[in-house]
Amino acid sequence: MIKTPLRLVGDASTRHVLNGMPIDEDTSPPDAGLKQLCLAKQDDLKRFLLARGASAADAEDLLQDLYIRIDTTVTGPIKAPKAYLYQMLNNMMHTRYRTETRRQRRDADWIKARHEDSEIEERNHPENVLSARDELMRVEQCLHDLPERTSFIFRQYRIEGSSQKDIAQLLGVSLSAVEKHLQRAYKAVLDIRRHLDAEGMSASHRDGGWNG
Amino acid sequence: MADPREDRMKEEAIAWHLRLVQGSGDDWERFVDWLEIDPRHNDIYQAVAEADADLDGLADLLPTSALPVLENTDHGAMEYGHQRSRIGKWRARAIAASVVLAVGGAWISYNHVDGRYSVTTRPGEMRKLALTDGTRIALNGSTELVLDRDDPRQVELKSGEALFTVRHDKARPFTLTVGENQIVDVGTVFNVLKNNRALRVEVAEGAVRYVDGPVSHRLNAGDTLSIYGNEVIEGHLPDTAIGSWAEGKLVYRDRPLIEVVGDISRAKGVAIELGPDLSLHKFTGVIQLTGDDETVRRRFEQLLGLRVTGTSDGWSISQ
Repeated sequence: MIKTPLRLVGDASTRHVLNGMPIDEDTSPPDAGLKQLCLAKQDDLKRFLLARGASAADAEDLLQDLYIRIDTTVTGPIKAPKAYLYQMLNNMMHTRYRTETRRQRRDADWIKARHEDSEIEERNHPENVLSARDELMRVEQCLHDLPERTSFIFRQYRIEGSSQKDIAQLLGVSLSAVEKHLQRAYKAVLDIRRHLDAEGMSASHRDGGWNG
Repeated sequence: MADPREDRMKEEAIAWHLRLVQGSGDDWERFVDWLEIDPRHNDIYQAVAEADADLDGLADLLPTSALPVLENTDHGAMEYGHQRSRIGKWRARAIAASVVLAVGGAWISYNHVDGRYSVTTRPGEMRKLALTDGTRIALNGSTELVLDRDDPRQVELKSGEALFTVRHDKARPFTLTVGENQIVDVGTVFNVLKNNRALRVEVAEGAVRYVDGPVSHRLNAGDTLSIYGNEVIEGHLPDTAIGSWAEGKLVYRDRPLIEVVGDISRAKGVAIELGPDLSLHKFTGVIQLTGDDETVRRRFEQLLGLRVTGTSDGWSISQ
């Protein structure tokens, strides 16, 4: 049967950026091994965090955090332990970026309603819903303008959560063909985001630091 | 914008974003190398990841807050008929007619004379059965199955759709009767759909023999057989697609919309009306059935690229 990629459950605010990780029962190591690996790979992991934009002090904190989280969140054996560690740290970095931009937004008192810390309340605020809808419509339009197959593949991947492999199998095309379509679709989505940000109307406007 | 160097960075960032979903440890290490080449790489990667993450929030945005948020979106819950507690108003009306017969769970009626009994599901109700011989049967909505208490190897499908996972026994082959025909397993998982237009048999694993009077067809994994009146059409499907409704997922490749709509209607218990010229509209894709009706409706609408609107008694699909 086609499997939806497993999603790690962690910090609720980062769930959307958590990627599927293979978790398999017949592979080790268990938690102890993961911790060991975490220590052994400390320098590599730190290098990763620095490259992802963390300060040296933050990197130390994050590694400490990772070490603790292994205890509290890992329940089964992990198939690809090294990738798992990187993935967890990457998710933590995403959370950081999000929190940071939310703080900046509050400081700027950009829109009053954004004082709300809860994402749900933020999302349900009429003004935000409006611009989020507007944004969705723009994205929809942009998907609509893409070649049919590209748009189809993107929907399957992003809305249905089908894996690239399953899509390739379904359409009888190669994996790299699927990737090419996704590449094109993401590029379009990225472009529209930049337009929206430039207009200052993005529902989820943030200072990504990339103004290209 | 016109800077070709920047375009390439963007492409690379997207490629990394896609690859890291299932990235190996080595992939991640190479990703670090890439990040270190140019500090802008991280900024662009972050922009890609955030643009993607935002799509999530957008896709989840409900147009109305009329539907309560329920954590019970697990498809497995359907088999116990719990879903009536989370239906919308129009949905309640849509199934009202069939509720008359059913009192909590599937309708089971016994015939005390010969040990035969039937199991019936309502539209939108899914139910799983385990027979004493180890065979498991998943019943889709609007399905009637006749079982024999004295002989678990004899089953009759009166109407609807069911997925059979048969414990093979050479001495006592499992036989499914559909109308005048028999389907005899050769150790297998297979799906059978019977409605007033057609009979369709799909084999996910192993093989079955389809017995039609003196003629017998052998179907292996991935083979399908559709019978419309006297017309027999053989076909092939990815075996992962077969019976996937039992896992809350429908898989199609180039199927007419009328068939897709029939499946959704059966699985979710929603009446669906197709607009003019749409019944032969071809559909390819995977539809997840998990979630409440409104979620499925919106998902379906996005996948189809057609308008799917809620009406007083179900959904209506139009250009």
